[in-house]
Amino acid sequence: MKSSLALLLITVGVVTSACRPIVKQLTVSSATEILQDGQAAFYREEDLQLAEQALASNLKLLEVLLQTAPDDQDLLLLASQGFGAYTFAFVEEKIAAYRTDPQRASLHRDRARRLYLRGRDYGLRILKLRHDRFTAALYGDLPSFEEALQVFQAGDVPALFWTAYGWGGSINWSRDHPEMLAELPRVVAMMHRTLELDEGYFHAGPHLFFGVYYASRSPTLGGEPSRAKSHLDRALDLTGGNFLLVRLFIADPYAVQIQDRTLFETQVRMILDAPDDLSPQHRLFNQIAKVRAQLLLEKIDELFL
Amino acid sequence: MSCSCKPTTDDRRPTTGKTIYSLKPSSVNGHRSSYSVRRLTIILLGILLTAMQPSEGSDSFTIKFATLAPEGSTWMLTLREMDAEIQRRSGGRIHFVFYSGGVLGDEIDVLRKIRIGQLQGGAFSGVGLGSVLPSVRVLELPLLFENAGEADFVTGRLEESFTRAFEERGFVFLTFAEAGPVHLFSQKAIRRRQDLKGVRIWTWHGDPLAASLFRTYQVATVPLALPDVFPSLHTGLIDAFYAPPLAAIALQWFSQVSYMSSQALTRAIGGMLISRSRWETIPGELRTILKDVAKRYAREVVIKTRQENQEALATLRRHGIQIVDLDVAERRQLLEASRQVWEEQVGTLYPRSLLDQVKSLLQEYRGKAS
Repeated sequence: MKSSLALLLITVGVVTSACRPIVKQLTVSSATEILQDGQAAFYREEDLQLAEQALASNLKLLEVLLQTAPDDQDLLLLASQGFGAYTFAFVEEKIAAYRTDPQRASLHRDRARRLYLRGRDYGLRILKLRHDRFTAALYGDLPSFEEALQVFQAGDVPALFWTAYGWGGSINWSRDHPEMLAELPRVVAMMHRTLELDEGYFHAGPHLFFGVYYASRSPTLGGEPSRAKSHLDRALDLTGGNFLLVRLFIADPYAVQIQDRTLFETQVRMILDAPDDLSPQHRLFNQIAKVRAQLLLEKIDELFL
Repeated sequence: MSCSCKPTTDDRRPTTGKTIYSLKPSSVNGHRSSYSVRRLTIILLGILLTAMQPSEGSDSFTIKFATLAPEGSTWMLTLREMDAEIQRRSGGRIHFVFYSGGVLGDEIDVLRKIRIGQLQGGAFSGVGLGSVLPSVRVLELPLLFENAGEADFVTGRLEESFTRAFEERGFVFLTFAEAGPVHLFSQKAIRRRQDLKGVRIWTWHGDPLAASLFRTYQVATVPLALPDVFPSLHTGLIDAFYAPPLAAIALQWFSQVSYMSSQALTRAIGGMLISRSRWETIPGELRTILKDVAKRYAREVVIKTRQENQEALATLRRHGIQIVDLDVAERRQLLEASRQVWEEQVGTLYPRSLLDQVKSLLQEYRGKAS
């Protein structure tokens, strides 16, 4: 009896160690599936503190899994999106909250810059794995880079979008870093390609990007409020008014840029008054829009003359 | 494996009616009564809070301040630190409200808003400062300064007299803060005068100095407002512009050219103005705090901007912009043309005595330096 148990243990041990890579792969693959399915649950969460902590642990778990499967494109996409969404939702909010405390704001600005870059780099790994032409043009001149983007098709949109999103986010918090600012035309080119391929991706994400891009600079510095408005209008159409971040961006930067206080107040009020069950699948982002809208309302006199 | 981040069909469905910027009735109907009560409470609270606030002018002073510098840029980050320190040192009695990134219009718009009392101050480039006090542009004469040390020395010596002159024009001049060396950027390499044939160079609409230099140098200029520069480079209406390297990157103009001159044409000045009528309502001890802190932070901005302009040069090189040296003979000719401009502007921008003073200060500095 004793000897047969020993034999069984040895056999199991041999089989397990021989199969360790396979077991690991299987674990990664099931975890990826669970994480993919679980993403929708994150976006339905209404408690921001819970969402922040859960999303942070999730990001670390993703990085652990990526050590085993560094080229797993599903995992890479989850990480790219996760870092982008986490930074927008929870780090940018702290920068806004500490606006009267430059030192604390600076700490969170640095975090935002670094975390967005992590999201960008995971996304870039997917794009490089898919297309050598893109890899070759990545650090080349701008016209070659723009041309290389033509290799991407509809199936590449998620990776293209989140890479550009992370890249753009990191530049946005690096306006005091010339080397980062110089990369902005590449982000714009990537978002243009995303817009061409799927304008409705992630709640009209490409339109929201351009809405913010054209509205966040004044005409004196090259901004184009009328183009911003077209993109934001289209985003509102595509999301049926259920994704409150669209209204948030109409309020700031668009209404602030054109100094339309009434439009600003209307949008902020609509966000704050929207019912919590407006759209369950967008609950997390809608809650974030409400928190930001409240912050905006508190500083309205600093935004309008 | 399908990606769960794909949008649901609902996300993509276009709405049938135009709901843009208006509240969808369905989103509030169910909450009508609580909405009204809440609104009433908010209004009442608002009235109560307003009544409780100390009245402006008795003890606390807000300075509404506009600048073209975008939020997050070194200029704005430093201005916010300056405000935090002024608040700390004044016990919260003075604070700034910043309107950044040109949200209140260009510099001329901002000056108008200061004059009518909507704003109390702003940060300006040489063009804005010069529209109040033209003689300040003497500091931006082409090829006047050879390095930052010369600019600092002359500017420092003249600051007091400029401050008095600004005051006569209704402004308190808080401090200078330069924007950096201005270089020529172009689509083709410019090493000598012949290379300028056919080049159409942008000049900032309303900037007499740049127009005068290029006219003397017989280059075709196209005066345009700032917003038109980028599209005009794109369409070919212009194929050259001048700017500090940092601004060329921040405004994305660099992406439309291949060359930059190593020779700086001038050093762009900048400075902060406060409306004199506002200033006079502020008690003396608070004015001292304001001025001291502003000067210290302006110096910080200058140092950081100089570093960033250096970094910007390296970035431009990495992005394939070639830095072109002028021929030695050409540099001499450019200096001659520049000196003609210095003379031409006597009696227009500044009196001869000021130009002479600048030249003699430069000699003094160069004598010390050698």
